[in-house]
Amino acid sequence: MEFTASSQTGRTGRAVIANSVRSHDNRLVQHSDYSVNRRLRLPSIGTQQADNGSDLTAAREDGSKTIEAFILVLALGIAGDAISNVLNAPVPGAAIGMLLLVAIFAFYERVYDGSARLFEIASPHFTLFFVPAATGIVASTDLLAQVWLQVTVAIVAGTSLTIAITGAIAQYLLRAASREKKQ
Amino acid sequence: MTDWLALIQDHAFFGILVTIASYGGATLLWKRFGSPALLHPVLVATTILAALLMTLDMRYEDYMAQVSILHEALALVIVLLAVPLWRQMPLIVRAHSPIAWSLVAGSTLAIGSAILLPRVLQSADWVYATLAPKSATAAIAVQIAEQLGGMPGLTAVVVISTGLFGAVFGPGLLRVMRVEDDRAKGFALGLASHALGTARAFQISDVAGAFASVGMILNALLTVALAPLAVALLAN
Repeated sequence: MEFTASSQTGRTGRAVIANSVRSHDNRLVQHSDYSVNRRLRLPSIGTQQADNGSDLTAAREDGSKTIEAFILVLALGIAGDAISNVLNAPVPGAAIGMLLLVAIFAFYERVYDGSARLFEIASPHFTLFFVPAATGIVASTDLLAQVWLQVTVAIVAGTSLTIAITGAIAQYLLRAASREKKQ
Repeated sequence: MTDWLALIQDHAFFGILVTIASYGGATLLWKRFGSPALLHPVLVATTILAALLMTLDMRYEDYMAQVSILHEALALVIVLLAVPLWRQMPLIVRAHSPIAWSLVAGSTLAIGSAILLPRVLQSADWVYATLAPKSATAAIAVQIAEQLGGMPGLTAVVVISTGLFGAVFGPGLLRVMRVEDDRAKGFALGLASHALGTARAFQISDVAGAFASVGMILNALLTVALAPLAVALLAN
């Protein structure tokens, strides 16, 4: 049964989106499986009552914490932009907002549950938010035609150099540090 | 007769609908074929949307006006990166000195090569501003390019291409360089190829993946500081 497992899913901190679905016997059944398992099924009749009460409470707690975390993220987004504005430096406000959130976690010495849940829900789809900007390619085809060679060189040669040399330096330094610790 | 097409196309939801639909379709396709880097959902979704905008004769500005909320949400995504950064904190603290030096070297290299290599071929200033943040994670790179006077649309495509290139060819390059340490492999992939490199690193091992996340996030933050400096110093 899919939804009896949902409160456990919630407690282990994985992506949980609560859904209310009317079952065949027309009772409002709470279950919260969505992006994780994709096993969104209607319940069969009369077998699912056992765990529903606690599930409902757990799902509500999850829900309100996620909303709180969402409010926090929005507020930090604004705060970051405000600080960036005051500093008058080319630092994206969002980067400042992120550091503020890290500072909050550091203050409480742990990640806020709601923030962790919001991250788990959103992170599989992070690249979606990038699509509108990437579609901008249709507006910059003329530009790309002018600079395709520079762009290609930067991507192919620049990225190759960066990966090869960073990997070599990191390996050397990390191994040296490990050796030091052993001695 | 009502012009239904125009009515639908001008609806406030239209842009969001086609964006999420093409992204969803692209993701299904990607998973069906075993998640190859070359079929990355952003690449496929962008192609579908570009074709759609051209077919409908819809201007990008009009599309962007409809999906601006999705675009703005990039900022929220960055703020949320605090969660993985905090989770990797013990690892960063434990190996802080090698990580810090590799980060400074890698970040300088990523930004420097993105400016100096095209410079050999002669470019305008906006090209450097567009390319400089290319190794940083998408959301941050787009914002940096915007602030430095580059072309965010082009930066977005360049960033994705950089990620794809690193994810596809990075592991081979590291083998040639005799980098065998998973920590170093992951760090280099995450630093140079952000989220796509990080996803690839997790296929190598969890240790590689953790170091890749660290490399990606720290490089994004350092790029915020270094890119304006590098553009000012190197582009003229």
